[in-house]
Amino acid sequence: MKLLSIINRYYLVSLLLFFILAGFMLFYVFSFYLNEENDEQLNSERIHLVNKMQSLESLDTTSTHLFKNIFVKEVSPESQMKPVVFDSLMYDDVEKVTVPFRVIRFSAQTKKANYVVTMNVAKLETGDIINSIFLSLILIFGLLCIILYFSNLYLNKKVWSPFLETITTIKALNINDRNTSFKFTPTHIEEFSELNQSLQKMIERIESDYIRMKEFSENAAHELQTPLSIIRSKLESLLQSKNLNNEDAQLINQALESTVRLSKLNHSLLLLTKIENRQFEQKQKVSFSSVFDKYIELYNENILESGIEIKLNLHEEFIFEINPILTDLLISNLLSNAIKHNARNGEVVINIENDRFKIINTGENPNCSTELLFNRFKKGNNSPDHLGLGLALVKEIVETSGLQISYTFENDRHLIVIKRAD
Amino acid sequence: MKVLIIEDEIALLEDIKKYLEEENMIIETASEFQQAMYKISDYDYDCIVVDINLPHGSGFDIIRELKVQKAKAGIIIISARNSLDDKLKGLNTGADDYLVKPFNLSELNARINSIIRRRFLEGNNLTTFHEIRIDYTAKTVSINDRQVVLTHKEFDLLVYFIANKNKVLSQLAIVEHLWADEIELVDSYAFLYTHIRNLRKKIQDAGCPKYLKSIYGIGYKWEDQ
Repeated sequence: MKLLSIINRYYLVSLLLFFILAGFMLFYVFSFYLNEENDEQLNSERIHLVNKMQSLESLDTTSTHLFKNIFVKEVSPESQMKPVVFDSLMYDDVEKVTVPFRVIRFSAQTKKANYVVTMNVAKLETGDIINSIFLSLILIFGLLCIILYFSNLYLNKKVWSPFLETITTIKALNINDRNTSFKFTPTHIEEFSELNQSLQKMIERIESDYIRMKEFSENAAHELQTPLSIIRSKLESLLQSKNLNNEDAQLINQALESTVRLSKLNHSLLLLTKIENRQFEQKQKVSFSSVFDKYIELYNENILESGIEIKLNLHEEFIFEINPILTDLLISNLLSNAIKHNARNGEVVINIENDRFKIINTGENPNCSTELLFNRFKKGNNSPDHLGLGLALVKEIVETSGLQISYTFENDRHLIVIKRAD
Repeated sequence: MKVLIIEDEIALLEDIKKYLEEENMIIETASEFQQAMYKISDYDYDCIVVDINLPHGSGFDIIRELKVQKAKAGIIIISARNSLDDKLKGLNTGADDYLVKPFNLSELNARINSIIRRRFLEGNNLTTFHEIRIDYTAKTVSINDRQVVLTHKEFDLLVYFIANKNKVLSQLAIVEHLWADEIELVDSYAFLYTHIRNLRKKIQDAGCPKYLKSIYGIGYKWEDQ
């Protein structure tokens, strides 16, 4: 959800609460002033009437019903009463409903008699008050919504545009590609300007850390090779020594083999790191069938020696934009795996279709989940001679190149499918 | 054969020197950039083995200087950097070969031999070892003046053994040499054994004494009796 929508949602909810509260307040204030107004009116009429009556002899009480809202009743001269004002409900003959009235009752005297006068005035109905308040609030609310909508459009365009630009800049940023200069568009809005500055600093720091890390892993791998070279050459020299019995020589040889393994491991890990760091970015269109052809030819002798039969079925060319070095690594690893982990006189079948290729080869059951074999140092059947990095390397290449891989083992056959990612 | 080794790791340098001297090469060494530059301007060498990362300079500059001098020496780069870029850069600068550290001394020796042969013995590219005669151009071998037909791998093995005669060669070193650019097979030692058995049979059938000795648990040794 967009930031503005969220803000608006909160605005609207709080406005709604505000309007409800305002409605109540308006209702009570209105009612209060209306009552006040009614009372004033009744009082002034009372004073008028009292004055008028004092100049009269007596009242013809039968004729007082001419006035719909004045009732007069003669009482004994002793019963005096102060004016009282109260609310009352009365039946309206015309509208056929009970309506609220404000009533005043007081005693008034003519020269001869004493009377109790009841005067009333129709009040504005509560329902009417509520209705009118409700209607006006709804109108105001609607107007606010419209104003909010248009101001959002404007805000989105004007105020938020630097923020959106910043996001676009970050999206386009590639730490690996030092050539793309990232530059945030300057803005007058203080918060965004601050954001851009912090981002700029952060990215610069990440970039320098990244370069340092890259240098470190490269240097570490590189520096490791030198002592390894020395160990290896020393062991090899020692192996040439004339006064060495066979047992000692075997020990030296084993140490030598482990050194070789160690340096291969080092090379492979360095390669993995480089792929992870996306240091192979240059892409070009590659036809997988031609890469397979190249490696089948290169491995020809191995293939012949192992008695393995290789079939390449080209249904359709699979052309893909990918780094050529990674392609070579990918295909050579997959192919050598298929040959290495094959049965004697087994077979390798490669099917190439327009968006995928499949490598199917005979071989032993890996005895563990095929997914696990993509993990580093995970080896099926635990063959100690292998580093267990081949498939990890394959997976890393596949993932950084926009491809997908699946690996299954069925009917004594390993099936690896690599296809264009969805 | 006069060879200059330029390498800043003295320990490694000594081993290389010792190994190659036993192969009757004359070895000069340099352990830093300036020293190497003096040596290449003062003397002629048949082959120069150069490390890329040197104190006070780069091996690439030495190779460029050699190219300026139009030196005839073959050049082998030894470097811990094994990316394709580094290799291409090295070969484009004018090196004949690129060997990634760590390497086998026997491998370096074989490559030096191969480069010197290609550079200086063109037209008459032959090696003899007693009754064995190897023609590198034609890739043929004759023993006691009779041609022996060898497969590509057997030929490769024979050349490698003769270049590293009287040296203990581990199975691993031989496998790495033989299948350098190819895949490591699960039972590469078994394949190696097959090749060696065939080679041994062929040369012994042709009348050679038993030059190729097996060393139990380690590998093989070509003995010059």
